Amino acid sequence: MAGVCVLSTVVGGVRVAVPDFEEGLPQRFPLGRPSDFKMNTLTWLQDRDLFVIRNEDGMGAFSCRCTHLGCMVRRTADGFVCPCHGAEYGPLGEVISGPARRPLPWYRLWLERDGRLWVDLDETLDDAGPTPVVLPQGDEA
Amino acid sequence: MSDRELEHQHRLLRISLLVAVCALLCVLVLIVIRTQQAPWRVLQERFLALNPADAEGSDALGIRQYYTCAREVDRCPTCHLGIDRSDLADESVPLPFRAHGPGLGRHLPDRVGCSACHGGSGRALDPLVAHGRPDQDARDPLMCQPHIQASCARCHVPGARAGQEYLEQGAWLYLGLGCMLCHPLHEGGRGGLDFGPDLTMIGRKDTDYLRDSLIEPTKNFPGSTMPSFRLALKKEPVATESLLIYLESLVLDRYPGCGTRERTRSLVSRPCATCHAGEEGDASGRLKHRCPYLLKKSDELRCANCHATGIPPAGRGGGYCPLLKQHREACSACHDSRG
Amino acid sequence: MSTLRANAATLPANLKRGMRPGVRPEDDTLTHRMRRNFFFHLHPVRVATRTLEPKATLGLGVITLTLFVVLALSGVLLMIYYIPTPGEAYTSTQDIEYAVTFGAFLRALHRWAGHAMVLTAFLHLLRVSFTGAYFGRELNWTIGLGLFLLTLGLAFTGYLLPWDQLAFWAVSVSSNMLDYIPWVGGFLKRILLGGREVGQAALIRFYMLHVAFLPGLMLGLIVLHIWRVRKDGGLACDPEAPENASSVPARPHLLLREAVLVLVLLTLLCLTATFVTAPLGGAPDIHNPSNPEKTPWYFLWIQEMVSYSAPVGGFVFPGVLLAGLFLLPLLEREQEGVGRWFGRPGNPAVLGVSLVMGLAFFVLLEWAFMHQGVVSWLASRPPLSRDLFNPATGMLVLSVIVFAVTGILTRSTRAAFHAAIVVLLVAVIGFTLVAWCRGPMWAFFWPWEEWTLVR
Repeated sequence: MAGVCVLSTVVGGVRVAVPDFEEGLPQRFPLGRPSDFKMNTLTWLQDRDLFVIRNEDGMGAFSCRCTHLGCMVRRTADGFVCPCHGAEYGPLGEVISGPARRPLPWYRLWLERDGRLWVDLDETLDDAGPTPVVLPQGDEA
Repeated sequence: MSDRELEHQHRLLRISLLVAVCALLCVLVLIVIRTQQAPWRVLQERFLALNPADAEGSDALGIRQYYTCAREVDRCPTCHLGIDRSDLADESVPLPFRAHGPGLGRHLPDRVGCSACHGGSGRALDPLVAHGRPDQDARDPLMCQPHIQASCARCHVPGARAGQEYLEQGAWLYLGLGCMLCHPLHEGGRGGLDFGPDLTMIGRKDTDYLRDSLIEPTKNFPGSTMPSFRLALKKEPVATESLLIYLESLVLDRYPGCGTRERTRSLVSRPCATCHAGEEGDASGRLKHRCPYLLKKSDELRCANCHATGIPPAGRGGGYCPLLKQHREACSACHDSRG
Repeated sequence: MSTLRANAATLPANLKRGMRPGVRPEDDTLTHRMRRNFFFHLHPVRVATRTLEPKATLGLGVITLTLFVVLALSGVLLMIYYIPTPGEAYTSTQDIEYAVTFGAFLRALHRWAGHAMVLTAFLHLLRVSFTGAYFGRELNWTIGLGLFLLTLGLAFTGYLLPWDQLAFWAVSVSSNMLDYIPWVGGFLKRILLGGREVGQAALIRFYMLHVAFLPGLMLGLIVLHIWRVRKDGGLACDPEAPENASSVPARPHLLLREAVLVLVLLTLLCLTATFVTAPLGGAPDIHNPSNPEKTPWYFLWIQEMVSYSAPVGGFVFPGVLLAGLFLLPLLEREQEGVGRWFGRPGNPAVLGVSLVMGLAFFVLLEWAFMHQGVVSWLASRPPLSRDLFNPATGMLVLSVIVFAVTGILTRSTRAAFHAAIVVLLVAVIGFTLVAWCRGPMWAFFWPWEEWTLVR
């Protein structure tokens, strides 16, 4: 009986401790219109820690947090570098050297019916690199 | 250990115990003395010595503070005891007890506080910390003129009122020298080719470092492609200071709710005269921006200079104008995506 | 009525007797005097004379316990003014520092006592290890390990509470290190932070842990720990060794020494708190980490190792240490020399040799790892090479080698374990010092060099 009491207290306590909701910003949110992002540019959205890239291959969004310990990476001439422990990434977030083991994660980016680009930080893509995003008629960079 | 050694040690220990107790008591007394010697207490004693009428039966006045409209606490009047006392305005009253200079206008200290304009750390009572920045040992440059004008940007659009000449000139220089061509301002404005760092927080850096970055950038960044602005800034007097003041203003939090007329929140709540303004706010039927810059330079500017890609849509702030970051949702009050 | 009057008349005598139950005038022996007082009865009636010497235990247990009491009392006072929400944590800390009477002193006292407690708990652990005092006391040793981890947990949770730039980023980095624990790491991090990042949920959870849950656990374990020391027969010693033959009454001899120690400690602590203020940085900027971003000093060694290789630094090395410490009294059961520093008379020399080897190897590994040629070679190979060839793995391997060699040469498990501990100690302290020196971009700067961004 004592065991049952202790076990239920511990298990119940741990379940209470697991967060059911999160304060703060939503994981799915709009980024703006495709025309906000010029062709062949990399835009840094500082308030959501994201890079948005647009080139001939399409558009993509990837994280600017180093996969080692979460510092913001900085842009260099040929990619990114993390100021905390010197992890180096290529221009599409692939690991070049340093203590990071995973590349910068890319998130699903799509065009909603309202004409805005939306991103979902809970859905990481398997492949890095910009993908074509269907543009509505008459919208150009 | 023999019994004799034990006895000997025992005697020593009893003496040590006595000494230790005395030492601890001394330290505790020292703590109390140091507390009593806090700078603000010393100043208050001096003030009461000069103005015995203020004693009112107590030996000290205690901590005095303002609770400002921005919900911040400023303890400046603890030392600056005469700041809101018109009878202490005379030159002969020693600092820091003298009243505030004239010209506060509607910036009453008990409503606005002190640190909203003068910077520093309002909650602190240690002079070094109170007049400085917590992350730096130096005095906060916003303390005095002309750098205090940077604080005006917290509530006012730069240049909208008198007394902001440096800030206004700095804002104009920022636009005119083309800083946004290379430096983004990600906080709200966007744009630029992103060669250089985001300048939103650059105003926190040491002013000498900032001056060097403008006049001789390679001193701070060897191999940098940033051009030197020495000649451009030399053209007008105090141009560098003005630009620094503007950069410092970008760092500061905005207080939109402080009852200023140029609210920096959504224009949706503003009357139509905000944009369709003739003289004295009369409706004029024509679209006329209230932004002081656009008003002043309207013959030189063309809409396409800022609205290059069409009227910017809601949500992202638009174009290259760093001041538009304060009108974040405002454009959509009048402009939709088709202009 | 007359009964009442009679009772009232004898009130003083009854008061004296009632507040001191069980005391009879004829019970004036030492034993009785020790037993009837709660604090005195925590001590045995008699103690071995040997234990009165400072070098026996260096008083570290007493010091650690005193620090805990100081922390509890100063913490309770700080709780009067501290408000655990992101909007007010920093401002309430500023209020304590600047406006509350004795506030700055209390904050400094609390902070320095906290750092000191981590250090003395660690030294106490080392003392018990090197005197072999864990012999036959597996349960108490485990309780002690638990106490040490609780101390680290308390220090860590407290570190976030001022909510300044330093606190915010140090805790962000440290909690990101949890991700490297396999299987449970992500779950632990989520439960600790109440979300993905350090924010309001994290602050209130850390506060709850710091003021309620962890101190409660700690108090319970402290009580158990001290009780077990008594039950296990007092300070560990080899009953057959000659120096443990004589004993003296604990009161006054032991108590007097403890009293002096506690008073001296308190005096030094108060002096430090008066003249060295607890730092308080700027308000946190959640978009701009400082460069470099460092954990509190007691985790610097982990951060350094994680910068070489995340799984080794975050999981393997600390895991091996923890497992090794846990298993120590189970695998090492030599009775000879228990209670004596380093055990057998020949051991200090052996340990000296391991110390020198450890230092030499450490310097060599660090120098090699910072050498440009090695860095380029590692960059050209898959990440597993970096996990295998780095100073942390190197020192781990060295400690195993030293353990084996010492064990074979001296035929003593105690010497073997002590030698391995010495090597690992060199590693931990070495990594802490190297990480201490590191500057922006985690580049290494000697202490006299100025930090620059371009290296």
